[in-house]
Amino acid sequence: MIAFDIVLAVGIVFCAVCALTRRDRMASIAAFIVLGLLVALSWIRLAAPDVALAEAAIGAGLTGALLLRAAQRLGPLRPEAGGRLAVSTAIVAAGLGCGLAWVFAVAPAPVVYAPLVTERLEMSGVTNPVTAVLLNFRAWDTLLEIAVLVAALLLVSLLGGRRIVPAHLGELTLPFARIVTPVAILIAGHLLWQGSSAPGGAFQAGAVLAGAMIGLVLAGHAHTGAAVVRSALILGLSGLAVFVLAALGSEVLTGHFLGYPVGAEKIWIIGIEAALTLSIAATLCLLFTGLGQRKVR
Amino acid sequence: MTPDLVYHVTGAGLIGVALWRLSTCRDMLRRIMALNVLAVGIAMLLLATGHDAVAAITDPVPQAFVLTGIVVLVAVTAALLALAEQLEDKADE
Amino acid sequence: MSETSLLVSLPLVAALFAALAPKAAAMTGLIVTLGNAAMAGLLAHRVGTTGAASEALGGWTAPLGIEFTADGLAALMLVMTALVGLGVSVQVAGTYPREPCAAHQRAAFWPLWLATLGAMNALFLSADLFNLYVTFEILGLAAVGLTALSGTRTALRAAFDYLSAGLAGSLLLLLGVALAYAAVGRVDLEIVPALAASAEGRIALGLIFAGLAVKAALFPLHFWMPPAHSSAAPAASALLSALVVKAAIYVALRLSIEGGAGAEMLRAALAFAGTGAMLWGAWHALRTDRLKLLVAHSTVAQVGLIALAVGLSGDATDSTLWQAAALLMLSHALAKAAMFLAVGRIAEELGHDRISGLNRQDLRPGAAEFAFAIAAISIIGLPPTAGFVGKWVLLDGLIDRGAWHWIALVLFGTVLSAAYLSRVVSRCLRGGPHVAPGARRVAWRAGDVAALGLATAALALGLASALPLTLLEATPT
Repeated sequence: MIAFDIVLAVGIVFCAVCALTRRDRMASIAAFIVLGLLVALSWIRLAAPDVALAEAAIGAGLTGALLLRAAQRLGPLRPEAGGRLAVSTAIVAAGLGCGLAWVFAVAPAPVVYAPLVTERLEMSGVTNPVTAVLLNFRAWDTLLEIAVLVAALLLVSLLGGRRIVPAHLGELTLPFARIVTPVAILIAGHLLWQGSSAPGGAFQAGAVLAGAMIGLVLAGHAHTGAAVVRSALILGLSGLAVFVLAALGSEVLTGHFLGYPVGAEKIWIIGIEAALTLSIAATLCLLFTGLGQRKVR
Repeated sequence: MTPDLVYHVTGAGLIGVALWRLSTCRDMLRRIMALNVLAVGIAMLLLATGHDAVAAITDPVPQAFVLTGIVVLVAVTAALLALAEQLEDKADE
Repeated sequence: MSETSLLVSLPLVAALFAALAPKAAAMTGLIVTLGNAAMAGLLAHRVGTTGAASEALGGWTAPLGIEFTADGLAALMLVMTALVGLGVSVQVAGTYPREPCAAHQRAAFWPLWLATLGAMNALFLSADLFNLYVTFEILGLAAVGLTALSGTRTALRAAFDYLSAGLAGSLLLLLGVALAYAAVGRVDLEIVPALAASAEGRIALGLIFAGLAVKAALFPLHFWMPPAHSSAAPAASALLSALVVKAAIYVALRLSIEGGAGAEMLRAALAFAGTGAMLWGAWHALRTDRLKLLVAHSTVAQVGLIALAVGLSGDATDSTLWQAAALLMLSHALAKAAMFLAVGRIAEELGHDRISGLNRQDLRPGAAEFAFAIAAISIIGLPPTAGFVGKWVLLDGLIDRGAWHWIALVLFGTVLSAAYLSRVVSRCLRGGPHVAPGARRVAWRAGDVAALGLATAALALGLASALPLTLLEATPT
């Protein structure tokens, strides 16, 4: 298997170089998306399926879609001066990379968290350790992460700008949407529910759902009028509201901010995750489509 | 040689490539992509550190860090792209 | 519910509410900012009477869980944020929108400011490196929103550079956190002494400090800051310059205190960067012709002075220099917020912000000019202001050590700041025919009240400097 790892590693670095050096925008974004998928594959090799799912859906899929949208609007790459500077900085960067690889390889990496998580997993209410960390042991990180999404949404809505209005893609999109959307909703529900015991959870489910919503918008099947955008905005902001209110509510009940009542942890976690899934889906979709009033193809 | 070491080197390689392009490119989209590659490299280092192939121990905490990082990164990337597009709009006017 | 959980959660909920109900945004913002100030005061009182306290979120203790640490330093920073926020909120709530575009911007101000407030409160309390990274990202996005608020092309360009520099800084910080995890297997703040003791750990700390230096706009990584702070709307500039850059310095100070003797090399680097910033910022402040740019460059110089104080201090036990750094942060926050608000008012009155055009005949020096002058006195560090107390504690500590060259440097920096600030103050008092045709006395007074209030606070704090100094004594045992 080590040969597979090495081939994969070479592929990853090659894709990164392509993504950042190809002069053709489309080629470089395609390389970026392939990079995301290969990285997801390598993270399965590192026994991190939850993260691999998220990287494939968000890192490759959504970021790729965002980059394609921006490439369309920004126009082709302007020629730049390169030459000697590029060579000397390449040498410096290569040196830094080697230094980093070395220092990470020699670092002792003592195991501190893993036994603690195993020990407390029973008390967390879920059996997937990653979900236990995200929604219970370090739920505060996750709450703030949702706040990051909200801050990005506020910034994008402040900028206004152009909202995506799809070109009609023709006959094929209707059956596509008819099949893909319900399947995506089912997958999202499944990912959300199984997140408590197996790889999955609110982020992966939300990303899948956002993908389906973006598909609908691009196919021209979803209304993008002001009222729809506003309800999507309310949905997007509701996740943080639910999470913060749950945190304060749990403090009233147990005396600990974000400390769920004993015995009811799983219900609390699933409830919060369900709200987060919808809100993450709406937020990611809005970040892609934009909230502005001006319509441009 | 273990898989962890391979991915340590890969992560560091991604960071190196990203730093090189960050320091030489002015194009906004390319810089945003380089920052994304940089973040992927850091995530790779975190995951490879939290994984012990020999003892078959996987630490869930860095995985949670990386998951958080991915979501944070897509949010910041969306904001950066929106700003870049808005700037391009203003340049056209 | 405890003060700490309300401090971190109320602003976030209020930000959501303000985003969904723009008509009620100003009222919500004012009430929550007031409530936040009350809670910060209560927390400071509790810390001052019963000492520092830690709280494990969800009952999960560190290293696995995240803890809040409310000690004297954190409480002081929370109060600083609350005071400055209150002043700026009063100013924004008191302005009348003169055009529809301004109304839209004003509505967008509140959610961004409340998100900034929530992120800053969370940051000051957090005792976990990864958690700090996430709070920095909220803060970064909200601060960029504040920069872009005015919607001009310059502001958007500055916002883009700000956000990409901020992201690069965050990623450096994250790389440092990853390396810290690789070195000691955990990421709470208690590991800092262990980090300072090993080679990998010191590299990790170095990466974290580099990321913080980008975020604090510390020389030579300050390039994004003067354009961002000078092109934003006055209220936004006041928040950015007075508060947001402090977040990164606060974390650097905390790490330096925890790191103790092991972090010596990093502190030396901070001191040198601070020296560079002081000279570079002062030089540009002396040469620029835009009032807002002068104030922004003055922030570069003052951040340098604070970094110098952090760099020269040792750990919590062996020196009082870190208290000087904390005091300087506090006094700079109050004075700089007052200064930006006053500058906004002056620019609005004159129709321009050229320093060479500040000579005035028709208009007498008003409240804004007065506020600017007091703020300038505090930033220069003349008695009896808070700035004076900060500098005095700093010089006192340096005299005890016999570090004469640093004393000379601090005094030289003081002379430079007096030189560039007097460019403005002296012109305000002279007459001249340069009033632009658009000049008018705008019929709002809240801006004057806020600027004067903050400047007076800087003055009063100098007279009551025992308060913050006692508060700072409350360190975790």
